[in-house]
Amino acid sequence: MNTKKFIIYSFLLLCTVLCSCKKFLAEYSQDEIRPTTSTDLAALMYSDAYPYNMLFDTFDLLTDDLLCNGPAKTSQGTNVANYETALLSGMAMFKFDPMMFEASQIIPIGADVYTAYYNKIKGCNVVMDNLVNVSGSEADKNAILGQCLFLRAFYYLKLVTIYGQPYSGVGVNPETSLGVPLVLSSQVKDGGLSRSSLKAVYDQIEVDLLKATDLLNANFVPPTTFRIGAPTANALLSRFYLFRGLNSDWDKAIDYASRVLAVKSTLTQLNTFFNGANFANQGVYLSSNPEVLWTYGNSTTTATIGYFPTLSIGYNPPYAVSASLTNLYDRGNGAGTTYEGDLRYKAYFTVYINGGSFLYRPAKAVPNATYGGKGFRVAELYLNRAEAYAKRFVQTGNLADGNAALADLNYLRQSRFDTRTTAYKPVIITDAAELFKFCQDERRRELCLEDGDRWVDIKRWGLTVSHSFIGTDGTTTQHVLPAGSPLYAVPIPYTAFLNNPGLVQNPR
Amino acid sequence: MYKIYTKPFGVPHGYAHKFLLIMRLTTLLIIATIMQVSASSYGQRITLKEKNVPLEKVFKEIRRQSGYDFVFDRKLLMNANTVDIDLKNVSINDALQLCFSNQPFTYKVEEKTVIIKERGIIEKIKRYFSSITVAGTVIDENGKVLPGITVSIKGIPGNTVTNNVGSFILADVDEDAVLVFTAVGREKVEVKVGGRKNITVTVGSKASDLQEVSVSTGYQILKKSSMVGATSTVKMSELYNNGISSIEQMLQGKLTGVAITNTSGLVGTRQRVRVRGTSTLSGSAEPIWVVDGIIQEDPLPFKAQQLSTLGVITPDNSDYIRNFVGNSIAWLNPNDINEITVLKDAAATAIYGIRAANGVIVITTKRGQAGPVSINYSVSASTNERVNYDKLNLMNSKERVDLSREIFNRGLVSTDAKTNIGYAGAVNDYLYNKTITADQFNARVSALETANTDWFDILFRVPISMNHNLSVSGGSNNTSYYSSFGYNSTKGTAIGNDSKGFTGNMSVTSQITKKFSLSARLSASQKTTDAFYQVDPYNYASKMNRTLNAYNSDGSLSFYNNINSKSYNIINELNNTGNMNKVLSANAAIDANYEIIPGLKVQSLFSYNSISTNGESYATEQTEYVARTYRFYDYGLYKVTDAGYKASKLPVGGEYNIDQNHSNSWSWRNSISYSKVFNQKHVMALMVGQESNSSRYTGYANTTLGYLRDRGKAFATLPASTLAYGTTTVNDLTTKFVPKITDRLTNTMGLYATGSYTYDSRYVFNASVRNDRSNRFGQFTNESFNPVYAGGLKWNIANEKWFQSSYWLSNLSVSGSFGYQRNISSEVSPELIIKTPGAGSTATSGVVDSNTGETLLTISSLPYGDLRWEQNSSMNLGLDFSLFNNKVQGSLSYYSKKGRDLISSLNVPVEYGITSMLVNGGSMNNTGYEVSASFVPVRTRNFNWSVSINTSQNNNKIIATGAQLRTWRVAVAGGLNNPGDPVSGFYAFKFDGVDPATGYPKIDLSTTNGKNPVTDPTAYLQYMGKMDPDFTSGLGMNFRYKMLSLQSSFYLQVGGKKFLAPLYDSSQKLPNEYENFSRNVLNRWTPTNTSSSIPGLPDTSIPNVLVPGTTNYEKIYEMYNYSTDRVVSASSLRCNNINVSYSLGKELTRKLRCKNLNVGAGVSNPFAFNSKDFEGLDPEVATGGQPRTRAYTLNLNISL
Repeated sequence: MNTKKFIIYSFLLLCTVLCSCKKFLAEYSQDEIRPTTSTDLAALMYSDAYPYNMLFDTFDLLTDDLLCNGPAKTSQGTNVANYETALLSGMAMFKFDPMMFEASQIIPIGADVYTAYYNKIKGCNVVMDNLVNVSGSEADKNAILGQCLFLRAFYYLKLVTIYGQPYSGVGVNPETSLGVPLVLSSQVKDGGLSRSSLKAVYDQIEVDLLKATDLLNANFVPPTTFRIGAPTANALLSRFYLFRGLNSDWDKAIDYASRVLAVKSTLTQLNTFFNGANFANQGVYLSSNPEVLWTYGNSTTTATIGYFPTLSIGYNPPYAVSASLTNLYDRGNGAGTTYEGDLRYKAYFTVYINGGSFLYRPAKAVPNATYGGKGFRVAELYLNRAEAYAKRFVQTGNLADGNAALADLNYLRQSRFDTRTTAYKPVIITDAAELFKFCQDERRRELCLEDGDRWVDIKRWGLTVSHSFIGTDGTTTQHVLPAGSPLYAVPIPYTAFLNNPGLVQNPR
Repeated sequence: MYKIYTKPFGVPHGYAHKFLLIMRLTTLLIIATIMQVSASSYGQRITLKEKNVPLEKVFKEIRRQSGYDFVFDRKLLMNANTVDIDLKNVSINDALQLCFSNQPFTYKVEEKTVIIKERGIIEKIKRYFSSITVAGTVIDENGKVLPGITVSIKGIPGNTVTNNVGSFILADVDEDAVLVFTAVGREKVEVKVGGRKNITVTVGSKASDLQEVSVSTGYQILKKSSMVGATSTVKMSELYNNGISSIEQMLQGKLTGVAITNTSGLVGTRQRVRVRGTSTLSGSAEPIWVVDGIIQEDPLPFKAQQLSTLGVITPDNSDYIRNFVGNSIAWLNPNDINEITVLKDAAATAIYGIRAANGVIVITTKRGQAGPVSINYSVSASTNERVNYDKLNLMNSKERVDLSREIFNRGLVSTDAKTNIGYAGAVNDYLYNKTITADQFNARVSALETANTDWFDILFRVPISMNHNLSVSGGSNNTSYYSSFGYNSTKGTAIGNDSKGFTGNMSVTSQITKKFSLSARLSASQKTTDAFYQVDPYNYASKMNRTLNAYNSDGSLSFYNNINSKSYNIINELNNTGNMNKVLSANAAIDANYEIIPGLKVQSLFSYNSISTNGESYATEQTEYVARTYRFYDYGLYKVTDAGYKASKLPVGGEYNIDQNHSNSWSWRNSISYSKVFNQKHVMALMVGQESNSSRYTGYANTTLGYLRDRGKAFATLPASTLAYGTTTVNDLTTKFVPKITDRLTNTMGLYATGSYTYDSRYVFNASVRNDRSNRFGQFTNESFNPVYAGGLKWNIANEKWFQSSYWLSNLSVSGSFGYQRNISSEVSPELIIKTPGAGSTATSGVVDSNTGETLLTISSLPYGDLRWEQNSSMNLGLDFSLFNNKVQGSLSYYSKKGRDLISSLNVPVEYGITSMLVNGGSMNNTGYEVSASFVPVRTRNFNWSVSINTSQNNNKIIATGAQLRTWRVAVAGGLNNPGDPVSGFYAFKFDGVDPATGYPKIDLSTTNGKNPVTDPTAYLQYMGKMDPDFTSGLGMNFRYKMLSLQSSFYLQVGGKKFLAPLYDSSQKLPNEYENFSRNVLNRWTPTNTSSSIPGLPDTSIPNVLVPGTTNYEKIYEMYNYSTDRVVSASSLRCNNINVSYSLGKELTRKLRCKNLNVGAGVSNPFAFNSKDFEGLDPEVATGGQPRTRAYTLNLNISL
């Protein structure tokens, strides 16, 4: 090879190398992209802003809906292993231990939702912050913005009702009482985050929700019950005002509930679950059930709760539905008869059999369901409206309010009762206090062990909870959560303190 | 002129050759008779003194003095050599003769005219007459013959090589010529022929390798004297290869400035390598490995190793495989390595670009030497000591029962009641269940007290590992080859941990034409490692209560109900689990060099590397793991008709995991280099090049359930649904595991240039620059020019004219270098990056919404809007010297590395939805010095003592940090980056003794020095020092007496501090029957021993303590584990190895028909001195890893 030839060849080679350079160095990733369209952000929202398959809060152990059966002993005298584990995992919460969420305790799945909710709030913030950077129609972007604002408000309402004192609780000053840290942008900053006041958090939720309602109203009709539309936003507003519970809020709670019921008022008739003499439970969130507004999560969500283990035949599970809840239901003429009374007893729980049939855990989401496990239902709006009317009735003595409340409750109950052979008999109450009590009980009957409503209700209504715990060694101890307890504001899990020096624990 | 003398097999070569010589001589004699050479004398006298002048000038002078004319062709005279002449009153004839003695032409004098002509054939023949044929033998200082020595004639190109009996023949050698003998690793010897026809030459080995002539940077081979950057080199022959250790382990303490930390005593696990300290606050701090110029890629795609500051690896399943797959050079047979060089400063590494920020370790492999076939076979057998209870200082059965007895007697509180074993189980049966009598109880307790099960004896062994290696090399002048074949079978001390592998390697170097040379290497290796899945024998043996039995009295396995209430026996678990990893790799490289004109060369280096990794692990249905995780009942408990069987998600079969990875990478490098010497004083060298690298990882991983190992390795079908209480549930295990495909492509392209200028071998200037681009996703799209540049100066003082080379100082040089680079972390992007979920995440987050079918995308990394380049600058000062006539060689260097805007991981409040974020924040300075020296105190013919020592100190100071998290947990883990503190500086709680009333440890939480505990946890903590040693030193001492030699290697580290492994669990739980304790606890506080300084047993009733400045309560025993009482110095002096070897004498080897025969024996890790608090444990793995044990090796080496 002579020199000239060599140079020519090298030159040609160099050209080839440099020409293919652009392709060679083109960015490549197996699965990563930069979001460029509103469709990308919508996909991001479905996964990171919507709850999708996340695990949900389960604070039912703190309520009076559950009791403790203690350890189950085998014939050899040892404890049934998976029951013992489950008993221990629920112990600290059930005993109202102020250190229930410290590193030394077993924290049941679902009780450490602080991190999980903030993770979803990040998703909402990221999507909203990036809307300006992507292409897409204004309507699409507004639809996304509306859904994200709703979701963020939804998560903050969850957080503030779990980790804060009730807004209108006795002796609670919303201006100074601790809420949760408000993170409203995806920007991560140096230093710690401190907790905003209850008022600041509730105000933010209200602002976001009102804006979300407007945006959704104008831009978005959800194609399935898995997505949020304006009715769901109104439903959350109704819930929000009921939870806030200021005297001026009753009208708003009624107003927003009515807005939803104006467009969607049908309730699922539990009667229709009968197929001949058999009762086939379909759960309450089957997407074809007419009362479902929005549903999320899936059935495994409840199946994996640590303190509800898989049943072992012949042994009492460590925790089960309390007698006070069981006894709230009208059993009619009993199981297997032509009039079984309140069908929620049948539809909302699974049972265990050990010398009799006892309610074990919720069955509102049926195992194997391919639809959501939680959500918003029309039933809640009747209850919200009834409670607000009842509250007004208590305050003003206006009987019209009382009748309105009764009308809502009876309408709801009618759909829940066995009417195959026996017509539903409406309830009539004229005493304001008695009506309010009935309202509370009906709410408990309908919303128990579903989405943490009972725990929020206990706090708002200032109720006392008594638990009797049976330890692994068989000794029984009594534990009381007094009305207005500091533990109404559940301790923040220790994991949140590891990285946030600005965070303050709830008084305990 | 010269002859190649290689011994052809089977040909009686000598006679034929001699015959040819005689024939030629006869011809020459005939020609000689007609030869005429004469010059008449003219009686003129000349006086002339010139030095190094052109011939023409001399002619002019002679003409002036004598009047003679000169006739010549000017073209001819251009070939003339310069003349050194000193004449005093000599005849013109003599003067002319002297002038022409050294010229390529002759002359004739006619009528006072000197006619200059080209030297004719006659003249050439005349010169031939003074030529002779020289034969000779080359031996070493011990009188052994040396094959493969290059022999050349000074000033004349070309050479020959000694044959396998060390002899050579050179024909046509001038009687006065000087022969030069050279070989790698040997001193250069020059011998005057002086008319001798038979010469015996002694060529000694080099006094020290620090006198290394050249340094390979992977891109260039530079002379040591013109190498400006900081490097250190070690020869493979100086390392102790016992066939078990990895290359990194062998290097510990051998390379100045390279710190190697062992993280586990398990066979084949990775070591932590740091070159000149840690210079990054995030990302990998491992150096890159380069073999014969080719950067080695990891066999598995990069994943940051979860190596905590405490040095504990928290492995997930793929880490477990990774640990046994080895690193990027695991395929390399250590026997094929020639030498290892570490490039430390920016001047040395700049040519590698950004990747080299953590240093570069360059390995050059053995090449064939021109010469006859050389066959080398070596075999070694090694064995390890078993770990035993004496070393670990753990309780025996009696002591352990006493501890349980105390729990019972004091009525300490536990939350769980899983106590059907051990003493607690006996108490339970006796007092609560009332199933045994008092006598039975006493009998059972005494059985427990004497059980003393030796778990180490059951789970560990004294293994024998074998290593065979065969190499064949040789070559002619133009082509040489080296090939090797190795087999390695390493057995770990833990039963079931084995590794077996083959390596094959073949390289050829050929000078195809005068201008074109080519070398190629092909190597392949295969390695199979058997390890553990879901079981850790060391962890079990060192933690498990010794009152439990492994076997029943009838010899069957003894099962007990474990903490998960499943029936457990460790031997059963080991027998029914497995983890096998196969790595198959093939490498090919071709290196072509072409010299266009002298000095101008082009080089093209292409390499291809393919690695296939196949990892599989399983657990059969008989394991407790499968019972606990999937089946929910003990093996064999239920029949198919039982409710428990129907309720089980996996009633039949176990678990099988597969993880396959293929890595294919190629790299292609093209460079042009030019070097030229001007006026014999200015040396210029310049190289520009381009490099492309591409690596693709593809992989597949999956978990399948229902595995039936013992039934044809078949799979059972999972039940579609399970039935419990009449409720049928779809079996979610059928959809739980989703296959995972990996497909990663990394392309990089770099342009580089490096140049150097040397003046008179005295001053060296060097500069390099490199720019890289890659296809990495999410990079700064608008910034492409990101050069790394570095430069340096060197002054070889010893080459100065005024330098008086004396006995005590024979060589001296100083150098200084500076480098700068900007870097962008690969994990951060200024933009939001989102990804398809599923790949690399759990099965629960699918690619599409399982409810609506809509596409899902999830956040990959949050944007960091304020992202800036990391900036690193470094400076190095070096001094090389040799003293006492090269008996002591040493070098000293000082360096300073400054990092600014370093990306550091900031732990952020969980309220942001993430737990950590990478931000530009840190500034860090690394300064340090390194000293290395080697000397030979005694060197005689029979006795030789050589010492090499190196020391380095690294000071790592954080100058500024970004915002960071300041909690006590960060402070005790060494993560609190306080300005002025070293990187791994850590704090501890102030231990205040044991409360005599309760036995609880007391922690002094008072705040001092005016610090605010709300913002600064150090207000109530005490500074303890740093975790990394600040001073490491390696010492090697070799002795040789006649044919017996002894090598030793020591490693010293000073200045590090560590927390001891906790005495009690941090969760403050009551000790249970499943654990054993350190014997140190024997002297604990008890109600009768209230003055003890060791806290009493913890239990759940102990109240937590409020941490100052927070609203958090923490456990006092956890604080105690991080208290001043648990801090010890990690300083240690360890002997890495001692070994002896003996070479058989000349007579014996000749009888055995081999060139060399060497036998040796050695011991690794024979002893160590460290803080007594470690109780004999290796401080490097003291926090819980399997300790390294002594290994003994025998080896035999034969050369044919």
